[in-house]
Amino acid sequence: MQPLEQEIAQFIIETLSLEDVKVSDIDPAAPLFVKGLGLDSIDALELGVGLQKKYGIKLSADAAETRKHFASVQALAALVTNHRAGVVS
Amino acid sequence: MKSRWRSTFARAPARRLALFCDDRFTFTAALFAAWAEGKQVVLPGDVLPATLAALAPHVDAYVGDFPHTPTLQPGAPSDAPWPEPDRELDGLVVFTSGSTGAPTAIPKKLRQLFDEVSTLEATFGERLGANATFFSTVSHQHIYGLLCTVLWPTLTHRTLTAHRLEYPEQLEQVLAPVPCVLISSPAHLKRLPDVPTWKTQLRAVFSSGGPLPPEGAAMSRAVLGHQPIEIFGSSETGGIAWREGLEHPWRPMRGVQVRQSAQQTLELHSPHLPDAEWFTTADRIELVADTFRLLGRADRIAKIEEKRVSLELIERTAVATGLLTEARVLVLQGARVTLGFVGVLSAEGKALTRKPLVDRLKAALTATIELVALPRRYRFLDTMPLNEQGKPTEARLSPLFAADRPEPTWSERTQTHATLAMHITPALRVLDGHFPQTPVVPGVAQVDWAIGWGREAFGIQGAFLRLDVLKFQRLMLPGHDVRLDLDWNAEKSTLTFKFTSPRGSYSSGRVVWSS
Repeated sequence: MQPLEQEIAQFIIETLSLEDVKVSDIDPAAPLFVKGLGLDSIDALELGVGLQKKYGIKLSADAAETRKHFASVQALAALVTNHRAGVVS
Repeated sequence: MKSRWRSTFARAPARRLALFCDDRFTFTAALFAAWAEGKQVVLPGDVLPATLAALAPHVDAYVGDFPHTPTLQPGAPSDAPWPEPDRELDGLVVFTSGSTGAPTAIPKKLRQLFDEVSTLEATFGERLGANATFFSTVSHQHIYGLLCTVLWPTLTHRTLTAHRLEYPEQLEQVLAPVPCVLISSPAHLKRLPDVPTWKTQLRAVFSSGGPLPPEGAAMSRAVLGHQPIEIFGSSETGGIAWREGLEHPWRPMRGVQVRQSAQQTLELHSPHLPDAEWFTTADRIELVADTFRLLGRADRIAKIEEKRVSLELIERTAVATGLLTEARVLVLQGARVTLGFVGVLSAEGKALTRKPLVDRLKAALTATIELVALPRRYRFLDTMPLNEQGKPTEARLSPLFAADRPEPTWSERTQTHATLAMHITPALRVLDGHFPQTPVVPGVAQVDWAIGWGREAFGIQGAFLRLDVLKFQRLMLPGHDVRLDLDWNAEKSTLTFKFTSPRGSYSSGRVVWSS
């Protein structure tokens, strides 16, 4: 796992107070929602709020776009990297 | 004794008396003396600090066994005449058990209590006989125990007993020599020892306070030789119905009328209620001629993120996996309202480690419950924590989910250094049990917090090797605002931590990991 992916995994665990999940349990390529980590729509809302607080990222109102970013830890890491590089998603 | 309490209460200006006595004779004497003086008696279920805090606004004085509280003492014997107590006196306040929330105070008029005793006597008196002694395994500090272990024998001139029988081993001896009745509850009946039938002079066994499980009924038949008579009721309504055998529907008590509301819940009209209005309960029922079957509680429906979810359905589904013998789900407040799950493991469940266990439960639950309503937090125990009435209340279960560490605010977080601020709230679970009188954050908890936050801040992956230069300098107490500094040396794989506040240094040390 890349350091940023580890950081994102830790961010997800902390933001959602997940019980019984360690960073090493999270497959960065696995889907976060329903299958995989089993997160739900409310978790998506909370992660959205957390991304803005921690990384200053504002998600676009386009649902398909947002769903793409939330697909996996890898996808979120890419979002953070692009945001830091000044790329507008 | 009764007249000595009477002279005390006659002089006391207090109108509302909290009464808590282990000894049922003292309790009964004080109770009737208070009523003779027109006092209102408030019954706490226990004398735990939280109960007493909730009780304080309802009472003017205390009578009986209250710790660290001044109490009224019996005075000189009084020769005042004993009139019939005023039936319209608001003579009693009891509290709901709090199985679905905070306890609520319920006032009762004496006629509600006296009429209920008349009903019990009219329904069951003949089979008890005129001289039965009342033994009990339940406390008289709740409405069921008060009615059946104090008022019923007293008002019908039978014999009551001073102490509740807490251990099943005591039962055989006391139930043998005299004709008697046992006032009990599911919690006790299902824990009877597995022995051949005792030779007793029992005339009847009563059970109330919660649903009697089949094994409780079976133990009672096998050991006590009696099918328990179950009484269904609540603190608000008093007794509503009874049955003798789990396969039978519930028969309303004498004078109680029942009907079904549009929401399928039970409505009743009863002489045990304060007025002649129809009272709606949260129990869903099915009417069977003039009797009814209970279908479950309507109020055990929680709303999680706008989704309505039946807590009982979750519990039933979880128990059906065979991994658990009992399950209880409760609503946990927090940033997000979630469900907490408490399970008692079966032999099959005990064979699994936590992760596969939780995974199998979640898999079973997702088949019937929407993902947003799935319990998020799981606790597994050997026995369900119950209150004095044998109920798993929120007050007993929610501490299982109390936080192990405070919510930190990170003010600095680099690759090598992190600074966190935290407030030590009294609700932290680590504060319990170290020193009973003074809650402190134990040193081991401080080290555990430093290691946990260190792993989070620096992504430490190695295995813990040892602790070096550990120092504890000052007690960390609830209410303190504490700062934690963490320094990570990746080359040496060491984490240095220091807990401080303006009061000084609490602890510091170095944690060494394998690289």
